[in-house]
Amino acid sequence: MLIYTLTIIIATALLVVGAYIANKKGIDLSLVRRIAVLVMSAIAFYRYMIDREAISWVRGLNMTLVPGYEIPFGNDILLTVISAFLIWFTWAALLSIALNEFFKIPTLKNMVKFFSAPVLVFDLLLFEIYARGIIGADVLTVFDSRLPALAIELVLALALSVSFLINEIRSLPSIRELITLLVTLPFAILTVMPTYIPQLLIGYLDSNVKLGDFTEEHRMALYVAVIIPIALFFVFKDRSEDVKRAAMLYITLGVFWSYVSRWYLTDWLHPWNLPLYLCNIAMYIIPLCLIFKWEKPYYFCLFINVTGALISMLVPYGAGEVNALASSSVSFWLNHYVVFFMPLLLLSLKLYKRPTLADWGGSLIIFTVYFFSVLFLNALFENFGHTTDFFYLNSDFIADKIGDWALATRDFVWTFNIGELTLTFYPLYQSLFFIIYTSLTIGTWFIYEFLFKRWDIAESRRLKERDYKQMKKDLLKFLGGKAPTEPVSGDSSPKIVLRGFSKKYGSNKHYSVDHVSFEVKGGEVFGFLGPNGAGKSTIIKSIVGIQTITSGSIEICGYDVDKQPIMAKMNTGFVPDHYALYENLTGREYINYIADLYQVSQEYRDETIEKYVSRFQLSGAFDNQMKTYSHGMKQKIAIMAALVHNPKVWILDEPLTGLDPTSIFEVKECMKEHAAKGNIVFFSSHIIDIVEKICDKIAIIKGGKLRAVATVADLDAQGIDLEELYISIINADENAELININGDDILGVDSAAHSAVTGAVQA
Amino acid sequence: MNTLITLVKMQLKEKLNFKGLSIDAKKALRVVLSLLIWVLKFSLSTLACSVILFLVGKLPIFDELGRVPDTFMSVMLTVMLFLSVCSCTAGLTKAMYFSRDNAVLLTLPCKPIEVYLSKLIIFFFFELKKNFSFIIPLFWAYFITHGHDFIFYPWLLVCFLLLSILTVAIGALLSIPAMWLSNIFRLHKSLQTASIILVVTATIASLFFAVSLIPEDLNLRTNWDYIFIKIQEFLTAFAENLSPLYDLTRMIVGETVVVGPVVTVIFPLAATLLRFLVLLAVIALLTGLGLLIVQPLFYSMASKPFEYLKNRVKPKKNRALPSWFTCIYNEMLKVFKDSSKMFSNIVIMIAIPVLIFLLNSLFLAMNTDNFGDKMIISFNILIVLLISLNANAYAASIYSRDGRSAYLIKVQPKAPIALLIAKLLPTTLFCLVSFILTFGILLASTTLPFLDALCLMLAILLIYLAHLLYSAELDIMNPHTEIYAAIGEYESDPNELKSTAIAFLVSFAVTGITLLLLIEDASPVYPKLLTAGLLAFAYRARLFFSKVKVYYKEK
Repeated sequence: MLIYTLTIIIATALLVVGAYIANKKGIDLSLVRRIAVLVMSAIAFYRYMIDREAISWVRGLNMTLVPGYEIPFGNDILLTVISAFLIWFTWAALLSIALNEFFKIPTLKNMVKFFSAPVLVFDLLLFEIYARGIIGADVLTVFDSRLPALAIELVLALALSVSFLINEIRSLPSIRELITLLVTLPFAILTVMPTYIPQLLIGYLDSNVKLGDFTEEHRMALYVAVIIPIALFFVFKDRSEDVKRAAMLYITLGVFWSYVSRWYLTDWLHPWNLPLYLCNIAMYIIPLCLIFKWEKPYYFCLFINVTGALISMLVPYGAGEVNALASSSVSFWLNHYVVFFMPLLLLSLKLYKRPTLADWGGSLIIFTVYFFSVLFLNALFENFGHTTDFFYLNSDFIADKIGDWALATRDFVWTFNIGELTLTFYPLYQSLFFIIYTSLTIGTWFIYEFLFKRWDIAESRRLKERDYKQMKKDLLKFLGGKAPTEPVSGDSSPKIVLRGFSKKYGSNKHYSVDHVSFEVKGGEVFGFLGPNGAGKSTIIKSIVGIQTITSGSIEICGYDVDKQPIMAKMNTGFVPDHYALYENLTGREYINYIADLYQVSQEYRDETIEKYVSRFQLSGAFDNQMKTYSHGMKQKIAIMAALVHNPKVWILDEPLTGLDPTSIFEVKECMKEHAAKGNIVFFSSHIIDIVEKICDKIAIIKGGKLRAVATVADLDAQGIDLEELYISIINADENAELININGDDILGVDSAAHSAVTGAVQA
Repeated sequence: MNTLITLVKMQLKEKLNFKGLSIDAKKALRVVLSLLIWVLKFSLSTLACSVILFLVGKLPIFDELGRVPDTFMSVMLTVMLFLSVCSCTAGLTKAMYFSRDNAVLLTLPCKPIEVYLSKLIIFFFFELKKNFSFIIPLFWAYFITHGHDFIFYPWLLVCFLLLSILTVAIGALLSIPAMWLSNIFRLHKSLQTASIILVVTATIASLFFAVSLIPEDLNLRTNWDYIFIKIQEFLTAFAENLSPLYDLTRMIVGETVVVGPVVTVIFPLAATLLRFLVLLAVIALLTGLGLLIVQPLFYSMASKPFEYLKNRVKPKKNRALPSWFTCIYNEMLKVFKDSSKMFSNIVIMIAIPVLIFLLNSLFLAMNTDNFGDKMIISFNILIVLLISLNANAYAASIYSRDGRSAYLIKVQPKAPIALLIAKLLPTTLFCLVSFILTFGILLASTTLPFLDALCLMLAILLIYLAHLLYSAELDIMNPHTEIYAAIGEYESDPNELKSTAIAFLVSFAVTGITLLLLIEDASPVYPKLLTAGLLAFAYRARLFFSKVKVYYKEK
């Protein structure tokens, strides 16, 4: 054993020195390293598949089970445990070394540096213990080709890891990388756990624990099949493609490695022993798909294998009859977990595109070929005395689970001869099997489609949430240390500012409001005119927060309506075009409710409510339910609700509709008084006379675009009749530009309207 | 006639949100798809009823031949007719006199009789649609399990066409006293409160009386002969004393003829024709009475809801409340002031404990084994969940029902989530009281240990809350504000239907899983249920908050 150890050390040293020199000379050794990895993997595969590892016969560390098989370390538990862990950890080390040559990922690098290299050094120092665990107690006395293979494997692995360590010695990992390594390492080691480790360390415990028949333990095993991929998804969803691919490859190769331990090299010479069950095939295909980025085989796994794996886990064949901790049980579940969730995980991590109907069709073709191939092989191998049951086509396992009628279908048997071969088929049973499985695959397509839709909805929501959070962060950044309740513009005086405001409904291409900009200052009564459907209500609803903003911005008293909606609303009072109240409440209850939301003090609200109740002559009805009110009374309540907190900005949408003359007068007076206090009154109306009488400034909107902005004083000074202006603008060309009547600054309209306006201005 | 047709089409289009058949291929496909789904639902109902009737027949409840007698179907028909008449009366009272579209219809240039008939016709359509949900599948299932001839199947449809007219006609007549009562309650709130208290007291008193009738030792097995005879006597007495209804049933299901061991069902033409003519005559009489009595009163009664007594009320004081509390207070106030909402909340509050008390009193009288005890627990869970989750259907239209006032939540200076959640609180509180009472009853009447019962009730509460948030989310994502603003009611609100469907699904799923876990007897069942409830609630709450944050402003 000493000779082996010395040989390994010398060979490794030579390789490491050679690599160091080559590196110094600037020679690129990446290809050489990759070839070394492939050679190392091939040798590891060879010695792994020659025979099972001797230590795998140990059960529960009591060294007395499985008569006829020699335990490598006799009764020495410590050596047994050390050997088991060395073997286990070496697999993780080899896998990380191999992947490190193909993926440049910090976690893999650190794993090689801080885990793989030390583990391999331990293997070297404890080579006899390591080798004995694999080969057995007679490792020193009887020649076994695995021993030199182990040595070569160790040389290559050590050379690769040590030379890598030397190259990377100067680049120390960050704290974050170390933490990532510490968190990842246990899972990485667990992934490549040999399937005999549980039975080796723990034994069988309660021998009645079986994972089948939907016992509680079986259900727990099924939950794991769902929990693991969900956890992996959340861990990897935001990583780069390289990291995702490396991680998934690590998992599939790690599980594949423990899975193939059930077969020996000689099995490959006996085709009836080949792993040709559907889920077995997937164990090969999935890693190959990840390595070579194959698509068609991947979609085959997605459509065909996922269903099969799910059914197998629900109705476990064989594994449901043995103890849960037995190697075959562990192998079964690892195999089926990976086959079930890996294709779905690869899809959700966007390592593969969503399948098309063509992909699904291709999968069905591959499945059909597979089906008929194994059908034939099952029949063929029977002639050589081997009862194979690939895809459970020959046995009554599936039929037995379904019921008597399914078993009855096996009564139809076809037997025919080709030369000396006798081929037996169960046509009815096997046809039904094919039809049902194909139907399940069709169902899978629809299930995937449904899941994709739900996914897209969830993804859209997630992106919007992310944008929302980003908006909040941007706001805080913009405010630069100020509280979010501070106005963005730094000035909370009465002001309405629209900057390039546009609004589109749903997926409409047409803008209901298109790039509207204007400013209203404190003390102004601003009138908004326009025909029906011009966009007046859209602008108003966006200002008060009923609708979203497609683009542009709106500020109320310095608060952005989108980013600081609550503060903006605190400064706003709104009277809609059609009063909408909680009619079961009394007027008093409703107004008090609104006052509470605006945090109006008791004293102020008593004074204000009393003032408006008497002004609007609501004394007799104020404590009656609002459903008993007339239209005018309800409108007055809406006005009161908008004024109870003395808002800096008072917005009204067609406020005078349906009011009697006295009420109209009162409302107009309220508007003038409110503006006189330095506040803004912003209202839309159809009644030009009233707009002309009470407004300081007007805007005319048509087709979602602002057509004119003017102060009433300027219009008067220039002798422009508002009604004529309005009509001319409404009749003007769609592409007419904005008229900004501010002295002599007229931008232009079409000829007829232009003459009317110009004439008026000149006059 | 044209006016009547126009009125019917207009109202149908509004209530069904019916866009009409057009040559648009997409719309036509959608219509075909809806029809297929409806056929599928009908088939599933029929299948379910067939299975139930088959199993009932297998039990020796009625006879050893495994048949369900026509007297049983007569009882079912009577119960369904009674329920239909009650719902027709309530629905017609609402539709004819309280519907918001009266404000438009009453002003149209139509004859009073046309408006009146149009409303009856609309209601007839909905009544017929309702019959296709249960009673028609039940009778078809009866035909299937008893080998009736093909003629009975279309004949049933004809009969139920007439029966739908009959219930609508009776409902129209009964709507007069219903409207009169409703008006009195509207004007005299104290009378309404007193009536509610009376009804609740009567219910509780009846409950105690019913419980007192339960024998101490209820052993179905040993006393089966006696019970069997009593069942037969009841059915015979029913057929004798309510012979018109029994004859009506025989008109639908035919006559059973027993010749030795052979049982046949025949379709006696003469007798059936006679019964059919009698039914037609009754319908004609009731409809005529309706036209005679209701129609002249229709306009004055339909305008009553728009009239309000102008009472002089003593001025009250203004009261300032913290803004976080004012939303909750506001919603509680709205519920307390809405008599129909209060009534339904009270019904939910007392229905669950009442039913659980009655059920468990029955079970206590039985000598049950271990499996029986598990069934009892499961049944309790099913009842509680079915009632509480179905009550959540209101949440699936809670925001839309505000109609045009729904915008207020977006305009007010408060995070919308607070105002939306506040709306859900009142009925949740009533349900909470109900759950607490039920918890006490469960502790007293079952063998459940305190901690297990607590886990169970908390699990049910969390499932209830999860479903409540789900239902509310349906309304947020797909509001029908305009429909409620226009009419005040939405007959087949898809959100409510979805909520109800999920309620049934969840109730049966949770019950089934609990029963399986109890049978397995492997590990603590109730903590598991509690964990599942917690996860469900956490998931739905997260989704609700997220969707309100992201989507509410756009909807």
